[in-house]
Amino acid sequence: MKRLTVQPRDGWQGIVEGQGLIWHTDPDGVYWDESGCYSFPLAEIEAIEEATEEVYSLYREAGTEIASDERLLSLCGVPSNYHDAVRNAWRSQGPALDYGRFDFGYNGSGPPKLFEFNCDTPTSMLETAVVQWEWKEQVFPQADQLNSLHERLIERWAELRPRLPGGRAWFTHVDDPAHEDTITTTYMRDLAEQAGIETRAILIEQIGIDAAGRIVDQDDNLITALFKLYPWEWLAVEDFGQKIVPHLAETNWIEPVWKMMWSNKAVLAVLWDMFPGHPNLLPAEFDPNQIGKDYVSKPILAREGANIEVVEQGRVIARSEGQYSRNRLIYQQRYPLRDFGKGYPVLGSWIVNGTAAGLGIREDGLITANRSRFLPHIIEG
Amino acid sequence: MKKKQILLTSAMATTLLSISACSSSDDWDGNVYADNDTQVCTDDMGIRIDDLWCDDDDGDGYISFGGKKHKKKGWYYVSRGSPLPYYGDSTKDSKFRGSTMAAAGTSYAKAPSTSNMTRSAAVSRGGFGSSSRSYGGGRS
Repeated sequence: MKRLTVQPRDGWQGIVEGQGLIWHTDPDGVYWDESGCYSFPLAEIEAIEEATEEVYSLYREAGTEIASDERLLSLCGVPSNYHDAVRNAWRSQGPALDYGRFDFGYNGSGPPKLFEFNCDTPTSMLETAVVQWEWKEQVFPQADQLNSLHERLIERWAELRPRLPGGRAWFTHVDDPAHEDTITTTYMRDLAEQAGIETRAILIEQIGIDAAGRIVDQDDNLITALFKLYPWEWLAVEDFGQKIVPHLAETNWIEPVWKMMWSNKAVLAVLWDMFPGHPNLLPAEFDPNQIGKDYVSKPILAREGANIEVVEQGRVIARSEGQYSRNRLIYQQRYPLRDFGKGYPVLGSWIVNGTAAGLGIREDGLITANRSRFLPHIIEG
Repeated sequence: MKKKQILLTSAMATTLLSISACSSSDDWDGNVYADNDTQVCTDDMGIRIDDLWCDDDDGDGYISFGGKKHKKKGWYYVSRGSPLPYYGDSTKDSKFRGSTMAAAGTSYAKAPSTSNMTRSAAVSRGGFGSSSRSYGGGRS
């Protein structure tokens, strides 16, 4: 693994905007950074793919374990009024994309180590699947890239289509000022349409409930399948969160409510407890005394690198701001990230239904957060 | 090396032009109208159910649909220009112009997918979305 300096394409801003990436720059600088890229030999790419599919299989086993244990469900942040729904959804295994992005630490040697799994509302999807591929085609046309995310998501939607009433799905998100959520959801909607699914769009606050507690769209149609770029842990505690519980099984939620078992940081300690010493896992504990003096503390439920502390020899060396509670933390052994000259890269390795599907790289300081730069990658020819 | 072509279709193009993929039209009267003479499947009470149940007889004469048991009946023939019933609507409502008898020599189309849904009036909206006002977008 090495970092290359690359000449950005003339007019790159217009190029990536045309592909949908309109949040490429903010007042603090670029988000899409094509002044550099990472280059991997094939053997390292294969190791990343292997780690991705291996860690996914660990999550499947952990899912069965957590679903059968009230204590673990609570540790993972699942509200008690959602326990039955999560258990039932896990057992029934209804329609799901079953996709996500594993964030791995990797410094060019040894196995990739899991930082976390973003599998309820993963983003950087458009950047990974479309924008960096088109960049590679222009800048390194002879090189390859670990990237089948676009095709695999279309394939997965096509598999789901017969299981969705009327072959139809609604797509919802927050109307965010940067339009990142809007475009990411719309990209997913586009993929579903390419798979033959009839799609409809609705903002999250436009969703209604009828007298029976079923969710309806802005035209009072019952929503029978809903792709949501909106976290389950938020839905569960909002005004409709309790009202929808009796009817959760009547809507195909994509992703399903069982993703609450995986989309939290407590699961990292569950994994370490189940698979101690696994080469792709870092030690993770609820008790800081069990983890040593070099660790990263993370809230059980938080997003985009918020409210994290990096501790070296018992001293905080990096801290991120945020609105999330640090009342309940997980302590994960610190991984020796490597600075390749412009920052520390973290690998975002995608999976779709158990198959490794693509790689996106974010670069920043010791904490990867919402504005960490996205750099493309290539596989050495 | 694998070659591929990434296609983005109408949803992306529309959104990029407007950044309003999630707006809804306000001038819609809530009805889907029959562009052609159209047949829809009903139960024995005249309630519209999925056409599958009239196409495919499983033998016992009853079906479960929309959380209720329905006794299968047959087709209701909606006249061109009439509003089409949604799932769960009663075809006995006079606004759905048509007949339980097919007109001789008339061919009937299947209902468009836009009417193949169940409608139910919202009693409340806005019960989702409040967390985003504290934390921002839902992405991770």
